[in-house]
Amino acid sequence: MGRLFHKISYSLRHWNEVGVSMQRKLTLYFVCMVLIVFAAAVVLINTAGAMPGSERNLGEALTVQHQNTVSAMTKQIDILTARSISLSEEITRTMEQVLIQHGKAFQDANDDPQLILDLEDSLYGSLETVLRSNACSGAFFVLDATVNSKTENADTSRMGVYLRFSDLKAVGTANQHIVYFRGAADLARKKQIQMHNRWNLEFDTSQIPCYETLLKFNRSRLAEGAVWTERFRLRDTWEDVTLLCVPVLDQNGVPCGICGVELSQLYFVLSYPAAESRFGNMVTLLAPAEGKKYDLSKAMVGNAAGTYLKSYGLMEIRNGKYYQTATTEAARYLGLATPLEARFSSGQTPMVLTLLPEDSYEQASLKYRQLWFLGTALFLILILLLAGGVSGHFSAPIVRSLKALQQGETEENGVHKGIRSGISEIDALVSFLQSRSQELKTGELPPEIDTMLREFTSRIDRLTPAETQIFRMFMDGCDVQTAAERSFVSVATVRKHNTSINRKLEVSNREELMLYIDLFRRCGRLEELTELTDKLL
Amino acid sequence: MLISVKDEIRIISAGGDRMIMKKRINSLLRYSLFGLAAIMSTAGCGKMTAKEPVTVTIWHVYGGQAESPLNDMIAHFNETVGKEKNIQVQVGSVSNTNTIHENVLSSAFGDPGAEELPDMFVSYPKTVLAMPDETVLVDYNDYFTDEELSGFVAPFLTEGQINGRQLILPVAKSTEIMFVNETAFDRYAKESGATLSDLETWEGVFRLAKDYTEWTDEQTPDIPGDGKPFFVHDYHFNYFQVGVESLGEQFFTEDGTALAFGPAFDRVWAPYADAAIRGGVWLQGGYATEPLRTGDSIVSVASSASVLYYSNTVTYADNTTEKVNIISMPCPVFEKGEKLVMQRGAGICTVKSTPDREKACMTFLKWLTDPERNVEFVTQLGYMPVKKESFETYLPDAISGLQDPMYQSLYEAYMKTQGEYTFYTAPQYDAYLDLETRFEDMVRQKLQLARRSFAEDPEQSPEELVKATLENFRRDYQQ
Repeated sequence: MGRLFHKISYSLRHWNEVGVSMQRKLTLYFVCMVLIVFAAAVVLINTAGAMPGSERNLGEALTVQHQNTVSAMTKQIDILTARSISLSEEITRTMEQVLIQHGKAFQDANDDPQLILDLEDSLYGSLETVLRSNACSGAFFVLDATVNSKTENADTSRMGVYLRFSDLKAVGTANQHIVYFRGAADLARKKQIQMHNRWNLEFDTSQIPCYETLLKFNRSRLAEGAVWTERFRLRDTWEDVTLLCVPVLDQNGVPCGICGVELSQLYFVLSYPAAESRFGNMVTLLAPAEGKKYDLSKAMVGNAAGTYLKSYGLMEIRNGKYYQTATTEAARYLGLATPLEARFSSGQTPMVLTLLPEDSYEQASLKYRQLWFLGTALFLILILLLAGGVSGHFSAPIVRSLKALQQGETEENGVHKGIRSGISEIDALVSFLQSRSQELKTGELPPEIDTMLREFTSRIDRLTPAETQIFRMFMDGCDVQTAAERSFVSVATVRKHNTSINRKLEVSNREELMLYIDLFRRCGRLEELTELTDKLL
Repeated sequence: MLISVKDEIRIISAGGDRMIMKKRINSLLRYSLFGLAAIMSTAGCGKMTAKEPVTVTIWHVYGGQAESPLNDMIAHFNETVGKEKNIQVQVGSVSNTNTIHENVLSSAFGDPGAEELPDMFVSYPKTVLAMPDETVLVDYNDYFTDEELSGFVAPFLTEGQINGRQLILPVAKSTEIMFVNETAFDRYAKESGATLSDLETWEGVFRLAKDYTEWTDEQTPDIPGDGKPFFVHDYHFNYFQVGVESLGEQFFTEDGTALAFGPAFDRVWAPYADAAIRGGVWLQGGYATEPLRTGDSIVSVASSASVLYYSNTVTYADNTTEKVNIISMPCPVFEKGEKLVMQRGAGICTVKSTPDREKACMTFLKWLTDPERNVEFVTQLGYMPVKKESFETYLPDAISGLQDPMYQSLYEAYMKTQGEYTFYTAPQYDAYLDLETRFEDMVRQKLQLARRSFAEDPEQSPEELVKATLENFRRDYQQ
């Protein structure tokens, strides 16, 4: 590694001495410039968080979806709460009228099937209106009276009516079918409403989590009594629901029942479809939070199409910079959580969550990285080609000019043929060199060159015969290996002779030696060397 | 200017160095490019992550408002085969046959507020025939091989063929069965001498119906006219259709656009209308399970698949409950008629979409109709399987393994029906749905009016009222 580093740094330090071609150097300069600008742009984009597929992008996408969901859910909860409160008030008023007509108090409803039937009949219309006009899957009221206080389950059996939609739609329509889940059978037949396959005459209040609590309600405002149950299974059915319950007061302000609306899990799925994004599908949840933990079996889970999110198991949330990470037993999700302004009957805070599978994000990120890589690679190739083309176009005339000079092309009158490069400095140099070349051709060797060659020649007789033999082979163009074969000695021996030759002839290496030989050849004085070496052999 | 010799030598000697340097520079460039390529290529790497599952939706009727065995099976599929093949099936709706029919047509016609059609939905032929464009449905011939299709019971497949295309894949078949609240019947039988064998014929059923109404009225001597209906039928149209055909006559006209109203129709009408006018037949809307649930009726004829919705608890108007024994018997027949019974059962249609989604649907459907699994599925719902191998190999063991007495009784009645009866399949006329809907609404309405008239004036001749009601009905129906 150190050796490599040394090589690189040595090469870089002696870059300019190498004599890299002009075109190559120009190409390199162009490419470096573009790369610097490109790198600067990447850093800028990255800093600004605009790089597609980044965590920041994901955070922004989640935030937008989450805010929309929170807003929609808050609105829905508000409407349902307002309607439930209004229903409660209407029940109080209507109940009072019916009781007055019967000349009875509410407590007299116990064991009075006719009174109970009349109460349910008179309240049916209000209940149906709530169901049909609002974003819910069911509506109900339960009053603290029973048709038969002597039955076995009289303690928890209470009158009331519970209407549900049998065919749920995300957008309610007038022709949705209502089924009669709880209430007097005669009323269902009178209203020509289909009875639920698991219909029962009265409610089992032990199945309603907040019933007993709400019967003890003692605040001044009904809104303070509005609570949501956690998700639970409607007995004998396949459906999970959450109920919004509001206390019902009698004319004296004493709690005498509850009323409210139902959101079924299926309805929640229809109301909150999975939101498609470039990072994957985002799922909506409404879950009770216990610190950082969520019990999904008590949560309402929206449409989870495109994910493996299940509505059971535990989920733990950890905060992050741009979003939170939610971990279940099977997978991890990325998302955001916001508390809702509502209450669960269990006392836990309802949280709205927007979650996206971590796998989906990683897939999307991978795709972006691959596109980025491909784009960058294509860009670089394009730049290289462009730089090569531009620099070639710039350097071509210059090279042609130098080449013509090198090849000594002359016109008919013996004057050098010049090719103009279009760059004044280059053209001036070429003209000078052309004239100099002319001078050299017509005259003898410059004295300095002559001296140099003579001094070299004088050192030849320092060589031993063996060294002279090797030198002659180098003159003939042999390399070390070939010289060893021809001399019937080892390569190491040839190398040893080579070292001695260099030392005695005062050259630094074999390349310099070969240059001298080449110079002798070019000056037409190679025979001098041949004669000298012949004498020594 | 000439360069000095020393410079020249230096240049010459540097030439050697230059060559070495050039080589080193070239190597540097090569290594740099290689390194850059290596770094950039790692940008394209990432860990292999699971693909998003292909999620397909289904609307079905298997479970209605009670427990849903199909939902449980779908959950099992999602956890096993679905996970392996990256498929998730999502239930979009669980309703009943009437509701799903309306919703499918509403979606198919693009009614405002209607949901988009799901990937799969349970359907009867009448629903497909009523769709505006049945080419939106997949032809199962494109996805099932001949060998795979030959595994189905042939008539079941035929029922799902419309205009030469296999548009409905059979998954479960049902027939009509008589369900009896045996506990209540025994109470009545003890005093009246009636027996369950009286329920084997329509004549017997309607005779008992009239008697039962009077008997229940007598139980509350201080409340006159509160006799209860004895019998309820889920589909009056089926009673008439199968009844007329069992008496050897065509129920429909040749072209299937109207009812024939031949002599056999009168024979089928008479005992039924007579019992209804006297209050012995439940004429209100809703399913047959409802009056049995409240104790307002004790004998019903309904689809065998209704077993899921019958409860062994009756809740009376005073909130008292009674545990009862619900038994099943083959559907009654006319004394001089053929033993004929309606064959029903919906199948599943698949909506055309993307190749991935269609393939996902086929994977699920092939899994669901696997012979052994099909038996597991249908025996939880009171249906019969649709594959030959299911009947031969797996059904007998499944029946012997049933724990619920109601289901045991049902399958005994079912096997007896299969052994002794001929199954009747409703014809696929374009006008079938319209004829059925109008009939159901009108017959109940006419008989309710007649019942009310008779209740107000019991001195009227029931026979004449029966005839008059028939004429009234026939005239209004044929308009």
